[in-house]
Formats: sequence, structure tokens, C-alpha cells
Amino acid sequence: MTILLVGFGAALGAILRYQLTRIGNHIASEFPLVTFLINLTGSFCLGWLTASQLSQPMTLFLGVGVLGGYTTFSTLNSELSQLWFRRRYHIFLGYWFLTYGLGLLVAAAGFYAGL
Amino acid sequence: MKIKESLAVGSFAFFGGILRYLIGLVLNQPTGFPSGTLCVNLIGAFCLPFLMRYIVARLHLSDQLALAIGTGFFGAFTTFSSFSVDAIRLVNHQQWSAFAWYVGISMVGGVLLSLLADYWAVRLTQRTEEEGDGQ
Repeated sequence: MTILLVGFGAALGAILRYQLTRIGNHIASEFPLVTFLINLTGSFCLGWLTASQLSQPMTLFLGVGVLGGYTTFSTLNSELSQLWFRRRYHIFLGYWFLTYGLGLLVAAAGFYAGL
Repeated sequence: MKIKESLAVGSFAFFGGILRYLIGLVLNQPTGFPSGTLCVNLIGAFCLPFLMRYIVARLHLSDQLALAIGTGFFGAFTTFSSFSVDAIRLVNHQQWSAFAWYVGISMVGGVLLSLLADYWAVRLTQRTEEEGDGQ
């Protein structure tokens, strides 16, 4: 049962990420802004959710499922690799450090906001 | 709206998310090091670019299947939100060395594995083309 909650949550989160990426493709920029914003908003929300201590099924559905499917680590690194191969070293470094630096900050901010 | 594509992404994400959850159950310790999330993320960081830039081209998979595997399965299999919240949890428990290792391995290991996968995919594609030319 919990497995189904996680699975359906992940499906919803991934569809939301796909739709946002599709809309964001119209913005021509070399910086992968959509994935960047998805990962930051997802980190903030999961921080909040973790501090809120909802019931376990709800946490599994929203946290492990929806937010786990919404945010992504593989696309982040795939985009970083492409920036490196296209010799966009400044964007590579900016995307790399901003994602991790701000990701940790907003997760902490979400956590303290939810306490 | 791309309903068909959305359903393809969603159905593959369903399994990606469940697999991540199961690996986490086995490997993540509630108070300790988030090994499950780390393993899942590093596997995905290598497999996504390798699949997208070699396997898909090699097997002539359709755009829709590539989207379902890449955006759906691997997008949901790996996660950034758990990474950042796991790291904050280590800070809250004052496990500084675990925090440093976790962030360091994720940050450096993830990008190195993706670079390796892309580099390897390019090399294999070139070799395949050369073999093709020789026939």
C-alpha cells in the first residue's frame, strides 16, 4: 500500500516537472533555469514537510513520492556535463555551486519555517 | 498538454520512485548516513546521460520512450530534495564529518559520473561509426 502511495506520488511529481520543463523550453537561456528552480522549490517544500511531521502515509506520498519525483539529481548532473562539454565553464560553475549552496539553504529555511 | 507523453513519463516515474523508496528502505539508516539516497543518485547520474546519448541512439528508440526513461524513470529514481534535507538533518544532529562526506561525494561524484558517461557515450558512438564505415 505504501509502495503505491510512493509510486503515484512520484508519477505526479514527474509529470509536473515534465510540464514545467516543456513550458520553460521557450525561455532561451544557456543556464538550466527550470531544473534549477524545480530543485530549489522541491528542497524548500521537503524541508517544510519534514519539520511539519505529518502522518506517515502523507509524508510518504508527498515527500518520498511527489517531491522525490518532482526534483531530480540525474538531470542536474547531465546538464552540468553538457555545459562542460560545450565549454560553458562559467555557467557550469555557477549552476553547480548555486544549486548545492542555495539547495541546502532553502532546505534549512523550509525546515525552520515548518517548525 | 501532451497527454500521451505525460502518461508515459508518469508511468515510468511510478516505477522509478518505488525503486528509490525500496533501495532507501534497505540502505538508509534513520539517524545515520543516507547511503540509499546517495547510491540511487550516483547510479542515476551515470545511467541517465549514458542511456540518453548512447543506448537511445544505438537501439533507435523512439523520442517518446527516451522521454519516458529519462525524464520519467531516472527523473523520479533520483532526487535532489531528499539530498538537501538529508544534509540538513546531518547538520541538525551535528554530524559534521558525515555532512561533509555526503555533500562532497554527491556534489563531486555526481558530476564526475555524468562526465564519464557522456565521454564514454561519445567514444562508443565514434567506434560504432568507424566499424560501420569499415564494412
